[in-house]
Amino acid sequence: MSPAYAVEALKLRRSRVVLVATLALVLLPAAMARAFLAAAERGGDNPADLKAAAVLPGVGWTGYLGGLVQIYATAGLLGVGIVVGWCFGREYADRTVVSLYASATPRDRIASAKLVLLTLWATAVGLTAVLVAGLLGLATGLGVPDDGDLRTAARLSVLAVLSGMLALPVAAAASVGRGYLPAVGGLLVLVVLAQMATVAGAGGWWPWSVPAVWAMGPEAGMPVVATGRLLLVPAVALAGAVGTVQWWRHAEVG
Amino acid sequence: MNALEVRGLGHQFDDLPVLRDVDLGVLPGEIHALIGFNGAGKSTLMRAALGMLRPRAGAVHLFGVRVGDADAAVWERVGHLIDTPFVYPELTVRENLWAAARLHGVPISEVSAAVDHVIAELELAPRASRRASTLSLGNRQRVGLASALVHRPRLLVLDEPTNALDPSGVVLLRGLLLDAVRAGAAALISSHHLDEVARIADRVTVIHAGAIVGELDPHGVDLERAFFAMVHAADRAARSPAATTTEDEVR
Repeated sequence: MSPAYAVEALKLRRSRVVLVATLALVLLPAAMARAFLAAAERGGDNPADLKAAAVLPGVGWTGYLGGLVQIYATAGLLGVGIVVGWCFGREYADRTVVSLYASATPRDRIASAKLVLLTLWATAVGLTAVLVAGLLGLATGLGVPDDGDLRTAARLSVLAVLSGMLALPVAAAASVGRGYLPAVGGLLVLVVLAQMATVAGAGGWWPWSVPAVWAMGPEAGMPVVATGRLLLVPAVALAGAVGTVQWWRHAEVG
Repeated sequence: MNALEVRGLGHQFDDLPVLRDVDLGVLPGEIHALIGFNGAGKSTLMRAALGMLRPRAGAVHLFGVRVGDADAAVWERVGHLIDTPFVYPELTVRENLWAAARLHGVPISEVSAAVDHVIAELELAPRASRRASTLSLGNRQRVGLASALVHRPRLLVLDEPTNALDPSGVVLLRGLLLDAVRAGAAALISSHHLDEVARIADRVTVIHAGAIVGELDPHGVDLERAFFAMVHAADRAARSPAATTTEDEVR
C-alpha cells in the first residue's frame, strides 16, 4: 500500500469519529425505521402513531423498508458528510496540514487517498446497514420478505452507496474553508436543499435528492425517475473530488 | 552548494509587506540561526523556503532545484517543524512516527528501524505506545521534532524548535542538531533564545520588519546587546534614511 493510503487508513482506523459514525449509521436508521413501523402498526390515535402511519408506505416489510429509505437518504448524507468534513477539516483545524507540505508524499495524493478510502468506508457502511436492517426485520418478527420487498432492499442498497458519494463534495467545503465548521455548514445546506428540491418537485433532477426519490418510487407517491439519472450522483461526487484534490495540490498554507 | 538558497525574496499579505528582498543561504554542515522579534518574518520566510506559500518576488532553491520544481527525491532530504508538530492525537507516538517516516519516503523495510532509532534519540521510549492526545505540550514537541528527523534529512528547517521543551529537551535537541550538522546536514532554525543560538549556531542572521538587517557573530561577547543595536539601527534607518546615510559616512 502506498504511503498516502497506508497513513490515511491508519488514521481512519484509529478515529473515534469514524467508529461512532459507523455504529450510528449501521444501527440507528434500522432501529428508527423499526420503531416507526411498530408505532404505525399499533394503530393508536396519538400523534406519534398517526405520524408514523402517515409517513410509512405500508405495513410489514414494505413499511419498514420504505421508512428506512427515507431515513437513510438523510442519515447517510449527514453521517458520511460529518466524517468527510472531519477527515479534511481536522487537518486545518489541528494545523497538521502544515506538516503535509514539503514532503516526499504530495498533498494531492493524500487528498486522493482520503477520498478513495472514505468512499470505500461509506459503501461498506451503507451495505452493512442494509444487511443489519434485514436481520433486525427478521429478528423482530416481520417474517420472510416477498419479491417486492427484496426489490426495495436492492434499491435501498443502491441508495446507501450513493448517499455516501453525495457527501464527498463536503471535502471541498472543509478544505477551502479550512476547518470543520465550513464543512458542517456546507453539509446542512446540502441536506436542506435536498428536502426543498423534493418538496418543490425537483427531486428527480437535484443530484442530492435523486437517489431518495428513485429509491422511494411511485409507491411512496414520488415521481418516476429513470435509473440513468442516478449517474448525476457520481458526477457531482467526481466534481467535488477533483475540486478537492486540485485545492490540496495548489493551496498555500493559510 | 547551498542546501537552501533564497534570493531576492519578497512577499506581502494583502497590502502588508512581510518579506523584503531577502537573501539567505544555508550550507551543508552548518546551523544558520534566524533571529528577530515576533512578526519579523521568520516563519513566513521559512514557509516560503519550503514551498508552503508562493512569494511575490525572488527565488528559492533546495539542493540547487527551484522549490516549485522539487520532487520526492528533493523532499526526502528535507525535514521541518513549522507551526504545529506533526502529531495526530488519535495515534500513538510510535504510529505518528511511522506515519511521518512513510510520508517522508523511508522505504517500508527500513521504517521500523528508523522509528526505533528516533524514539531512542528523543528519549520517547516510555511514551511510545501512548496516544499522542495524552502527551504534554513538551512531549508533543519532541514527537514533532522526531517526525522531522526520522528520515535523516540533509536539510532541517525548524521554527522555534525549543518551544515547550523542558531544559533536558533543549539539551537533547542541541545534541541532535550538532550531530546532524557534523554528519553534513544543513539546518535553518529560528529562535528567540539568543543564549541557545549562541551555543549552537555557526551563523546568525537578524531579520526585522521583513528584511535581513545584518549578521551577528554567534561567539561575540554580548549577543543580546548586539541584536538590539542592530534592530534599533534598522528602525532609525527606516525612519530617517538620510540621517543614517550621514552617520555611516561619518563612521
